[in-house]
Amino acid sequence: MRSDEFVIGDRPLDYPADGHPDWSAAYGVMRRYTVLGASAVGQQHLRRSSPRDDAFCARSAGEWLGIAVADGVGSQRLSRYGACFAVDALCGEMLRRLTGSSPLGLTPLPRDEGDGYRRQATVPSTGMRHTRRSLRRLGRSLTRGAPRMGLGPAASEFHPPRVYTPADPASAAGTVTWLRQTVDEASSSAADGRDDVGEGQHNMPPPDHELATIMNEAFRYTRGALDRFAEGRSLTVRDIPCTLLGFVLNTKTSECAMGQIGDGLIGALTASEGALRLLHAPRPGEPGETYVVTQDDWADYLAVDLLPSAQARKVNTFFVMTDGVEEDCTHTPPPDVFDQFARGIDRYMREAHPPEQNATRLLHYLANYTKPGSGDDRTLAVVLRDDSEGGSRDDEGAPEPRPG
Amino acid sequence: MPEQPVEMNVTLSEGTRRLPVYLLLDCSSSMTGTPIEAVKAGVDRFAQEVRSDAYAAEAVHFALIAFDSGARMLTEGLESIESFQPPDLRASGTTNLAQALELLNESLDRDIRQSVTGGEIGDWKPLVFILTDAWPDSGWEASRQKLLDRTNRRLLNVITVGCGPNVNAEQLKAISLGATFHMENQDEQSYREFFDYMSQSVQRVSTRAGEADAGGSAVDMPKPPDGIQYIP
Repeated sequence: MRSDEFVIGDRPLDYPADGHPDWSAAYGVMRRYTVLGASAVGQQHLRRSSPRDDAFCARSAGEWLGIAVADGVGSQRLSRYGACFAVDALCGEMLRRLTGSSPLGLTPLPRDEGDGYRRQATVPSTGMRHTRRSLRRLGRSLTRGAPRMGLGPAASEFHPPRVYTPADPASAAGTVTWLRQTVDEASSSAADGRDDVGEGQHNMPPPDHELATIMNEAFRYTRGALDRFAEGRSLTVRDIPCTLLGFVLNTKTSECAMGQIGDGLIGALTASEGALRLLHAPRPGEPGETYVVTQDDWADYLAVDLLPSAQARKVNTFFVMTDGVEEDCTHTPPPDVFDQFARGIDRYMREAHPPEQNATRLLHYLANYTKPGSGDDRTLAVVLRDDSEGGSRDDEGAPEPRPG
Repeated sequence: MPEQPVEMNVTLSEGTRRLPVYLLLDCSSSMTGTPIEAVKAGVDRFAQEVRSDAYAAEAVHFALIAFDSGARMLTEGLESIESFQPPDLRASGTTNLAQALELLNESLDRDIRQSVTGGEIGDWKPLVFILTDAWPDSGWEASRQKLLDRTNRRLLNVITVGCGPNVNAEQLKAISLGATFHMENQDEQSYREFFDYMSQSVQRVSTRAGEADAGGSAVDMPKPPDGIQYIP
């Protein structure tokens, strides 16, 4: 993996092995763009001692940045497997089709050693700037609201936090995760997480800039891969239902494309128009109901759209989120709630901290903000464009050091 | 770097998604004595139990419709469970379920908030419990059909509970749009168990309401206590 390429966020889970973290924060820097991602288990899930069902992934390859988020259906206890697999498969496939290269799309997210990543909990000179102690304290801060919600001490007991950073210190990316002690963590020596996603069936097309076609085909591929994932584990896709949102951005031309099935939101913040929802996916119209990529007629409910370069260049920040956050930032009153929310997040994430600090700050916010009736998992990925003179990146890939 | 992240103060939506809960109560003359007194105590107990649950207390909005020879709504539409005050109940007259269902229909049209993307937050699918101990007066079928015919097709969770020996299981099932239960006895203990079960069901639904359901299925009720039989 080249030093300017990264893969961050959640890892595919290999049923029945698990270890899906309850809290995950990640960042990646590519040219003038910084991706910050965070996903926090919902307070309703904490209350029931059930795991997080959301997942997110971000990858970069060539000029392209890809992001995917997914929300496993809560009524299906294995849905997190679908969510984790889907975000990895979709991200990889979107970028594979855009760059024509392989096996980026098939490589699972980093494991302990190998794959050009390493797991660590201490501070290298670059990468995640957290000490083991600070990570543990951050972990406890993630359940700060536990007493108010009647959650026992077990909600605040964690396995040691895990940090994933690229082995190449020149690469600016990383993921840090925490998992409750009350949720069983499977052996890390479980089956190789690499899954047969139909590699033999997959031709490697040249880069195809028919973005809408690429998005549609990437979703189709992901659905097929989910079928095979389920079948290989004596499950069906009905056991692992999830929503799925995908987003790709060309970091040179700024053109982007997006696809969505189910609830959640892909949005943008511009200087002139404020915050906008970029994609309107079909909804059943009933709260608590959603379309999922695993239903038989999923393609009828997939929404795909593009943002041409001329419009995309006006965007300062992109947002990709699951409905756990969407529900809390899009319903009036106040009348301009999404605009205020987007500007607030954007302002805090642009404060002069290293990106890994902003990622954990975002996670802390998602884990702890309180709102009546809001108990679902919360996942939010933010893509910040830096137009300052110091924000440009060497096009050869090695990021310039950011001011610390 | 600071070991505790600095707080972020970001604007969020102010509205809350409500869980509407309706209780249609048979107050006909056959409920005179222990049954109506037990029902009064049970409604109070239900409100207290739901209030004790942090999530349910925020979400549940409650409406009480009593029916005898007529029907009347005893709450001001849907009221927050936190401010609900149990009314006085008396038993007399016949069993005009039809009029109770009409009032329910009117409230569903008037008081339930619809979801609008980018607009106000809508309500969860309503939960309706119908508690009766006798044959309803004739004419209820048309009112029930109106529930089924509602253009927005929102109502799936009408749970019917028959109390005592005089109820007809098939008729209970015909009234219901969800689960049907039969409570053999009409003593104080039985009514207490029913209202405990009702509050557990509401708390369960309020907890799970936020979980996206890809199928739109009817509510998943907890297992009832021994004195309340599920009628398949």
